[in-house]
Amino acid sequence: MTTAVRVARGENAKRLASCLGVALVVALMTGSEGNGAKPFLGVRKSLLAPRVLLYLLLGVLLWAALNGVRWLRTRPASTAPVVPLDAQMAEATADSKTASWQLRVSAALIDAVLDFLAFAPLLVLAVLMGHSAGGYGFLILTGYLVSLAFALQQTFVEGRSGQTIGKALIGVALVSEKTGKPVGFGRALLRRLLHVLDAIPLGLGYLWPLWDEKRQTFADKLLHTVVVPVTPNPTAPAAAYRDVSKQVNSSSTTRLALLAGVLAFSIIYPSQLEGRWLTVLTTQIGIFILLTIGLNIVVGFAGLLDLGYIAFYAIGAYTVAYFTHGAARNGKILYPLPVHPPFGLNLFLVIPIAVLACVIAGVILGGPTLRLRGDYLAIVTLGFGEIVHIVAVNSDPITNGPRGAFGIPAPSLPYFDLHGSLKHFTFDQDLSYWYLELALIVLVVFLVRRLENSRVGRAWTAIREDEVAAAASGIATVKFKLLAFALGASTSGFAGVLYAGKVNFISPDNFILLNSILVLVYVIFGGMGSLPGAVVGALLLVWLPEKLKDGILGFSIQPADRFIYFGALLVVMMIFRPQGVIPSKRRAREIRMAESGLGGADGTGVAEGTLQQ
Amino acid sequence: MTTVSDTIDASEGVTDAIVSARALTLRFGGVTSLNNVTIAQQRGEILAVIGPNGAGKTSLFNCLTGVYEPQEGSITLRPSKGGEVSLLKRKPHKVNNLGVARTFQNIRLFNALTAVENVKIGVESRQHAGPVSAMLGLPNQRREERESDARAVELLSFVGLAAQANELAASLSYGQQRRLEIARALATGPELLLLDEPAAGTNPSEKIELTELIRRINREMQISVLLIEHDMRLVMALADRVAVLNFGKVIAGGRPEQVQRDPAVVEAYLGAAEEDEAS
Repeated sequence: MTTAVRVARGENAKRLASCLGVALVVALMTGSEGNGAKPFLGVRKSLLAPRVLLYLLLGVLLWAALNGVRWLRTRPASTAPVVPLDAQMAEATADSKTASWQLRVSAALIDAVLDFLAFAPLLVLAVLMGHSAGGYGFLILTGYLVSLAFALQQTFVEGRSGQTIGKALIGVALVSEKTGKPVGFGRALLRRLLHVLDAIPLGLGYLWPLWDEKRQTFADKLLHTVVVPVTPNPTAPAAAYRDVSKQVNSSSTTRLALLAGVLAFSIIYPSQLEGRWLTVLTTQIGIFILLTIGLNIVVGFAGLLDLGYIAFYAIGAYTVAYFTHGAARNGKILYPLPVHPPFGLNLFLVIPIAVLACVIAGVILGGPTLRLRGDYLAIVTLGFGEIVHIVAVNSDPITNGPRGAFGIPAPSLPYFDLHGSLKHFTFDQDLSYWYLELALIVLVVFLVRRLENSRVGRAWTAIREDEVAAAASGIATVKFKLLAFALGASTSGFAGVLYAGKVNFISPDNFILLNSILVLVYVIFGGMGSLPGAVVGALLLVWLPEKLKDGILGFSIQPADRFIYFGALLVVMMIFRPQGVIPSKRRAREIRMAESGLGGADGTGVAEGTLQQ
Repeated sequence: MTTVSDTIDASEGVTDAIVSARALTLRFGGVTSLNNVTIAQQRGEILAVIGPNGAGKTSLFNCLTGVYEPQEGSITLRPSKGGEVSLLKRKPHKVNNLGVARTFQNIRLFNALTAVENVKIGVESRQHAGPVSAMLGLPNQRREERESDARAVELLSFVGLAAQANELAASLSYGQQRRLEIARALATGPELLLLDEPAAGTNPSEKIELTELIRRINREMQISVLLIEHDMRLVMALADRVAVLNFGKVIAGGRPEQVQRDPAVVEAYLGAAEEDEAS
């Protein structure tokens, strides 16, 4: 171990300490208030409550993010003699192949012990805090078990003993991506800790990549560590190209750090919001973000103009109203709609039903109409949106007409408390509902992101760019357009379910044409085909009219005039930045090329001389 | 107007036809684009279709690939695995799935995608992983993604574009775009490749490379090639047989040197040369 490395490690420790310090200060600042008479009350409630763990965790995250960025920057200046990765690989491969099972078991055991040591303080803390910290204890325990299972799985199933800390300790296979040298103990330990964090955002993240030898977790990306594979990769040249194209998509450490920051912000900041803004956040911003992500699939990815998008939102919301009912009061159950099934479902169970209903509605609408191009499709979907709205208004005996459906219950989740009795946690508070929405938004973004970078996403791009060429390349254009339509519809229905579960009351007024148009505006404003754009577009443009109610920059504004400013912003935006706030790279290129007369930026492509379809 | 000889049968001597079109007639309103065209391609050969501008060559391609639907006639494909399928009333992507790939006269690449992504789209039209596999990153999707990467890179090197893999399609030179379009067509794994004026707009050295490439596609990949081309040197160097179209009719067919001497062909070309200086 050279001194240079030791110095770096000392710096790391200092940096970690300061990050944790900052986290504590932030915890104190955002904590409950004490007063002059009881100065320590606020401190005690802020720092000794379980919430401080969250802040400490964020401190660690911040530190990891900072380190990631720093490593990325300083790597080329590294003076350490670089051992070629190939040689390292060969050596390590030989090593892990010859590793006996005893060695593997001991490696896994060392791993388990290290894991336990890493988690023990948190575990002890959780237990000390009694039953109020049960949730944290459970979380940590789960993380620990997942980590242990992961280590065992890698050791036995994949036979890649090198991935465990135990093996890293004996100097094999956990290798820094940049230098090709085995990483030190501290980094290996950190990596293992971060693996547990991986499990939280990814949910079931450990289940599906298990079989994939190229899997690289969040931790690995952040720490630039790779585990040298046992078998040589047969698709090495292809992998090299993929790496380059990944760079084009800039999935860099900076990006991850930014993502972690945004996530942390959206977890912490809402808890400090006052009532009204929290309500705006849950009933409008969160819902519209989901809607915009869904429409972005249809308009942004596949290039289909859908003006009746809100119809699916209505279908989702009315599905909830149909399948749920409120608690019995005076022996009478309040049903949201005049018609209802003989049972009531939890809102979470309605989600798949509503999604399915919207997929079916999307296919029924899309099947005959997606053969149409551009403008025609827009008109047909516009009509569909109006039909659904008018049906909702006029079908009194089914939808309760313009009075709407009320008494839709908030979703709840069953859980066992520490005494083993069954309880229900109801999402009836704004903050808890926001966390639910946030989790679901993150899930949807994650899924759609994967879709975008897959065969399906590329097929959509191809259809959007040139439908004739796409068909000539063997893409079943109608099928893929239908798929985009159905996926957009289901996301919209999903948002409808969440909306109904939050406000407990829906009426046809929620599903007017203006809402379809607004969602489309959010998509275009954010940047067509761009996921971050969709989120930011919806966030900004839902926030703005609401903010204008309060007046802005000291000016008070008549509430009725708000949309003038809204419209002005859109006009300015379309003149100066037509590609949107955060444009997708592909779309931005299309717009540039369309401006220089190459290809078309709209959904109709550059079709000429073709008659069929 | 020159006198136009009667249409002749360009399927004579074809014993094992991969595709045969019988008595195709295609009209747009009052304009007859193809008039009773009968043409067949021997499996494994390079067949060139030549003729002056507006003779109906691209219309023939569009009929073969399902873009146009001729009013009369039949088109039969005989895939190597046996059986016969009619290509009439089939959507373009179905025709492609049956093993007929094409390129376009005016290059139609996906300009906002990189070269390798363009080719991947061709490979992936044969894959099966659906949206759920993609969203969950299931093993089958990941395997297909790797296969698609590998195949796309392989094809790019085959057409000599390996170094441009990560460049945008729109930023490639004209000749490179032509070759990329061929790679995308090859990626769908065709038995029959239709090339619509592949040499248009390329310089002499690119033409030599292209000739070599088409020959390799034919010999190494065992793909039958149906070629529309104006460049006579390229046609004579490559084609096993030539069919000549003029005013929607087949006016000659046979071996290249035979066709070259055909009085009807000479007449058609000289007439065309007087009108618009085309080759």
